[in-house]
Amino acid sequence: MSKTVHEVPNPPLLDRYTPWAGTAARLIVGGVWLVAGALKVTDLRSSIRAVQVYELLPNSIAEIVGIVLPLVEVGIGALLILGLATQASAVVSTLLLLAFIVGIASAWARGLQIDCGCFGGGGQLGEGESPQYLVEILRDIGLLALSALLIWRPTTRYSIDSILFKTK
Amino acid sequence: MAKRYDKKQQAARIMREQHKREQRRKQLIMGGAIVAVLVVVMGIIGVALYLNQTEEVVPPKAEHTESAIVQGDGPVTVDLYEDFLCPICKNFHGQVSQDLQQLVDEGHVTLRVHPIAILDAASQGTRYSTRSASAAVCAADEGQFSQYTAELFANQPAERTSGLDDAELTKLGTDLGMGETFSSCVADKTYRGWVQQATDTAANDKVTATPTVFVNGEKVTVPANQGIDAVVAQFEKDLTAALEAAGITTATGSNPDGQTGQNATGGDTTQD
Repeated sequence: MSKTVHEVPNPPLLDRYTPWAGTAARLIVGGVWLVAGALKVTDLRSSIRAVQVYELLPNSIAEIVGIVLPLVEVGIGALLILGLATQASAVVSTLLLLAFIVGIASAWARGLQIDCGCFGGGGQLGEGESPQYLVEILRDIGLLALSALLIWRPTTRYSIDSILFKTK
Repeated sequence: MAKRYDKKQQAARIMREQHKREQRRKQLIMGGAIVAVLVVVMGIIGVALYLNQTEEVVPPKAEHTESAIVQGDGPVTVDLYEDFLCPICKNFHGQVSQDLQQLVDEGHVTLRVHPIAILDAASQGTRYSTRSASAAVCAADEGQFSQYTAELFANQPAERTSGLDDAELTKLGTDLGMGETFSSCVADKTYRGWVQQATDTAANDKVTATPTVFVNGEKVTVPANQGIDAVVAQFEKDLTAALEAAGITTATGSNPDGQTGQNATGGDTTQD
């Protein structure tokens, strides 16, 4: 009889707390995307320039990325904060962060003197300013870890997903 | 009896898990669709916003190319890309402008200054680079481009400050004796679109940093991580060679040496 009691779903300790950790991850990563995108949408030309200075993409593609990226950042940020399509948003978030890490690392390796342009701004650095590549990469790795958590356990508290899809 | 109960439980559990899996699959497909739609919609909004942020392109009255204001008609061409907010441009300008102007005046050099705006993001949202460059084009219409750019560099604001406002930019010009046409040109933001186009053209020509200088279409390059003084020295070398090739021997060969020596101390303070 005691056996059957154990078969009633009784989530292990980890599973009881990950939804809360997921909510925190959603708000942090979503908040960062929302702010990063919002700071760029008002000046999309600067956003294009910020992409161009990496010298990684041909100009026509840099232009498209510079225009679309800030808006996608805002959108993904909003989805994560709302907890709608969490897993898919986290996948996009992860891919973007991986791309950024590669971009920054490559700028670092090539000795470029640029600002990552992560939160608006961007472009060449002036004299007396040194690039912050390590800090930028570490920050992105932190956000990457949180995004990965959301891919692994997309069910989180206070999310629209949990209302739409009762996966409890 | 207990066994049957177990079986029932097991069946229920399997169904529950199936249901859960089904839900997860549904959630994943729906999620993917939502994100895909979002990316497309945001892309369209982005393009609309971008077009909305694009200003009308008015070609300057002064002699110009697609991205430069042209001075002189000498056989040797110098292309100089500057952003008026860029401190190194100020340094470079200070070291070479006098000699260049002389060569232009003597008819040896065609000077094409590309006033591009790559540091718009570094003036707290006031777009100082675009505003100052378009004011300089207004001055070019009045035949005072080089005088006005000298004033812009002399009054250069620090990066990450809001910079001079339009009234102050106007005053720099009226102090040079320019009148109503200049003032209204600045006030009407006449050349902002042209400056943006010039910046795009420069980017297409692979110029995304300032100062960048070309002599007869050849980019002046120095090994990585060398300061601006190395660029100045290389530029003077390239320029002298180009002038000689064009059969021009000028006194400036000795002039820059004195000039550079003098400015080298000033250059040191801004190095790194």
